[in-house]
Amino acid sequence: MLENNPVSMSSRPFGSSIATDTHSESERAQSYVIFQLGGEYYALEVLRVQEVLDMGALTHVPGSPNSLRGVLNLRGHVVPVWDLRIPFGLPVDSSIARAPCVLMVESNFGDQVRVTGLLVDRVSDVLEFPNESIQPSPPMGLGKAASYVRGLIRWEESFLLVLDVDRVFISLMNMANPGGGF
Amino acid sequence: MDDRFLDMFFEEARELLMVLEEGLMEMESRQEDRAFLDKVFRSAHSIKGAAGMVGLSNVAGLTDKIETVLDKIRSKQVPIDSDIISTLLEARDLLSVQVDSAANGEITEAPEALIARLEQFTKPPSQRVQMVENTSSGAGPAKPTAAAGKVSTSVTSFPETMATEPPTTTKKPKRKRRVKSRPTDSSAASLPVEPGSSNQSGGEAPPEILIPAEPAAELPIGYRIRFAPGRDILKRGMNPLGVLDELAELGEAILRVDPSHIPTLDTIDPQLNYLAWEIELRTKEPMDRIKDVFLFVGEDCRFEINPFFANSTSEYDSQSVLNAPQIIEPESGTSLLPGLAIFENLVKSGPIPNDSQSNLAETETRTTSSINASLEQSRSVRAAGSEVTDNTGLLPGGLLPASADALSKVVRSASSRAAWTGASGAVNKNTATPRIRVDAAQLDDLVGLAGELAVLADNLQGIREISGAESYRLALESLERVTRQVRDQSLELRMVPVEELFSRFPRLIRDLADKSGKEIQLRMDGQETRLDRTIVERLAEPMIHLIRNSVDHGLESPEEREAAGKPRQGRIVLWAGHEGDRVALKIEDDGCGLNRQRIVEKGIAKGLVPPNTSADDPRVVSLIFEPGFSTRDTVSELSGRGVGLDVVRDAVRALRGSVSVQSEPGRGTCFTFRLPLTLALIDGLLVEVAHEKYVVPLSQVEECVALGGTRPALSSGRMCVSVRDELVPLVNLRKLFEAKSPNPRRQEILLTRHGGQRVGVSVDKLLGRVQAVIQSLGEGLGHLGRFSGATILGDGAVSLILDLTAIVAESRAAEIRADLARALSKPEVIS
Repeated sequence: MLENNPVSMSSRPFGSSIATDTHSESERAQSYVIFQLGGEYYALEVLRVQEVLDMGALTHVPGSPNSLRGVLNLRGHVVPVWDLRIPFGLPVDSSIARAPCVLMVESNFGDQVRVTGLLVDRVSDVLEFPNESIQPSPPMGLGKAASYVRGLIRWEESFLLVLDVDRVFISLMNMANPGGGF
Repeated sequence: MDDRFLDMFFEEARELLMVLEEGLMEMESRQEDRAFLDKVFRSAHSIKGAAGMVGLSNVAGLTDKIETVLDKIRSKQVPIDSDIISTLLEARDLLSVQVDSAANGEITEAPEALIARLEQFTKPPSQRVQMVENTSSGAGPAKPTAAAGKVSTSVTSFPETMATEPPTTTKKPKRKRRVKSRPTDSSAASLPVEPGSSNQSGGEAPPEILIPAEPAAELPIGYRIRFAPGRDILKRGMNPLGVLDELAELGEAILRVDPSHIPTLDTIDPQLNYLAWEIELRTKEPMDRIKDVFLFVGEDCRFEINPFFANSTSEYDSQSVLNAPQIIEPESGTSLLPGLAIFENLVKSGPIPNDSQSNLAETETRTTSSINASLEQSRSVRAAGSEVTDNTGLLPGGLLPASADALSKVVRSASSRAAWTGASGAVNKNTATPRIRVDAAQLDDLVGLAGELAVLADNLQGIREISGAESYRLALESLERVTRQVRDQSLELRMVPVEELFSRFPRLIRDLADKSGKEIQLRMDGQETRLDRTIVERLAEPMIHLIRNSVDHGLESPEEREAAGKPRQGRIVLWAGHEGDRVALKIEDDGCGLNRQRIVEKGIAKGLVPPNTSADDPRVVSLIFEPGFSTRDTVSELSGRGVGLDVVRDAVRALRGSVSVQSEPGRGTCFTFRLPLTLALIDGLLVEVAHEKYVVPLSQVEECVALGGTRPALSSGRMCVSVRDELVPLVNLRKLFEAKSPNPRRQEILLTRHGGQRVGVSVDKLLGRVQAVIQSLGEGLGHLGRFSGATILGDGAVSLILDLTAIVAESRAAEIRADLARALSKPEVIS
């Protein structure tokens, strides 16, 4: 069902073989997955993204918060998929032209590393930027997204918003579990 | 220090601490059992040794104190009483804390008061319960133990429990001995080993030691020890100097290093050990004590211990023995030869005891002698009766239970000799089959994979129906069989006996009894019942909670019990056993029982039950599991810390189990947990609700009935359905899941039980039975109690697993809220 995804993100270094040569280089530059959400372009470190899936069949979870789109089967593991549009305060309108993709993002919950799916409008590219190209984000003008952006990268006459994905998770969990920590 | 080695230490220390605790608990009743006392002592000693090796001087120091007391106990210099056991248990707990905090990289020091109390016991009775003076006044601060600095001057504070006793000042009885550290040979290669030179000691240890004043009956006056550590000893993170230091603690030690195995400089590997030592130790310690030192040296180390006696003193003083293994100066090219010579020499003077051989021999003699001992015992017990066969090890029939038990233990340990020869016999639990440690997470993965494999194999069975696939039939059948076996076997791997859970409770109850002043007798049945490891782990807290409750709220004080015509001693029974495909655990007390009247009043006050509910209603007792429900208003030290039984219920529900309570006023209370055998896999019913598939655990479904054309009966505004003339409340899943499509004409009803009452849950379709591997729903969804998890179906789709108990509770709560809202909008109805 979902396995026919075309975009492979296995650029994640599994071995450390490349570490020696490109070490100095990788200190200065980072690769980012570029995705679209509500008309803005965002950048997320490639190292955090395990893979990208096409939006496939999800199992709906009745009673879950509306930011949870459902759960899917990622090679035998049940993975929740959250819609980034909700925390970003964007309308969830199915009529908007989207080619929705699910970013499989690794995150730490307690002492465990979990994979969580984040639904975005479209994944467009993987680009490398030197670290010094990241500028601080402006204190206003980003709306609800402001708290999830940790910087800007100038790119082709516009700006990429660098996503602080851990903040996104914290806010998703707070929305899902009002009042209770975990 | 190698982290892996540290991890091994923590794991081993925790096990040893458990052995120590169990041992201490039983010590009072088994004080005549020398082998048992030895075992307890050994566990403490092993902890000390291991802690010293990894450099945890605080742990080693405290264990040393415990060990000293235990040694006095086993040599019968100190009688066992409840006070001493309590103190030792307290010290053990602190050790446990120390080990745990060390695992987190912190150091916890033992409070001086506790040390002082421990030291009290190691003195002759006449001098106990007296002010302990700083030991440094006479003989230098401390003995150079593996953890110097721990003992020194620690005994200045006064234990609170002793505060009422008249303080008199005395000195500790002690004798001094010097540890000589003289080079025995003038050759440059022989190194004097000084106490304190190893990295474990503080480095400032004074050369004076104290030895306990003990009568030496027929003990040897010393030992000649040859210690040849393996090449890799340093790589394993052990320091052979620690062994030497420990030996030096026991008496007067003369060390001589054997450098003959050191290769030439161009071939030397600095990470390997090439040295061996010969030690002449003058001590009155028994042989066992010396052997204990070598407990941890590992399998590739060779050691030989030969006692010598008073009449051979001249020999001891002369250098003949020391020089017996001729030291050949290492010459290049002949480096193999000296080794050969030494070992030849060893062969001449006796068999080379490699570690396992010597242990084996030791065990053998120990077991035979203890078999004989217990036969003696049984003989005297059976003085009146039938003849006893000769003591060659044949078991006479009809032994009295106690001695038969002891005997069978001895026999078992004899049969498990293979396991005994491991590094520490104390850890082994008399099992003959070899065991290995496995990473629990890996095991869980394996179980998960085996379950998925079973699901896949199930799906493949459809091929059999396809024409032309007949030739695969046999293979498919085998596949199905083998996958099931794989799954069952891997599930079995996760199972552990309930004993692992129960073993901590004697201690708990002892402590609780101490604190509450109640007299409690504990019985535990069915400890061999096996349960999923995770369940056993997660049940500990709920059970502790209930046991505390039983002691605090259930059992009365001895006086109250006598007044009520009950035995003074309260009784708590822990029981485990199978009930159908589930495991039941019971916690039963013969205390005063639940106060139904108060529960009902509180329940009405909190709006949990209708105002006219009778105290005899069977649902009343279940109220105690509601959040924030506690009938006792004062907070006691034992329980009632604001944590209610709802926590217990939630914990058990999270394990897909249930908890129920029965209680009779004045007769007692019984809590029953019912739990699945395993967590990883469930037998389920696949159902469909609003075009989504869900799995319902079969264990929650009593019966399925069709809800055909008949309309559900409405009773007081609630949906009900009549099943065989019984009116059963109905939960509509479509409504709960806010399905938008209209109800199908025909629905199926799953009958389940909730709080003793039958409840129906309606679904659209029944699709069949499945076996499901349970996975958690993922982070952020834990609060959705209605789903206990998710599983992946044969077609790859994810299906949610329904928890009917939670669903019924949820819809009932919604109804009560709705009722309340109605009542508030029509105030006249209330009156």
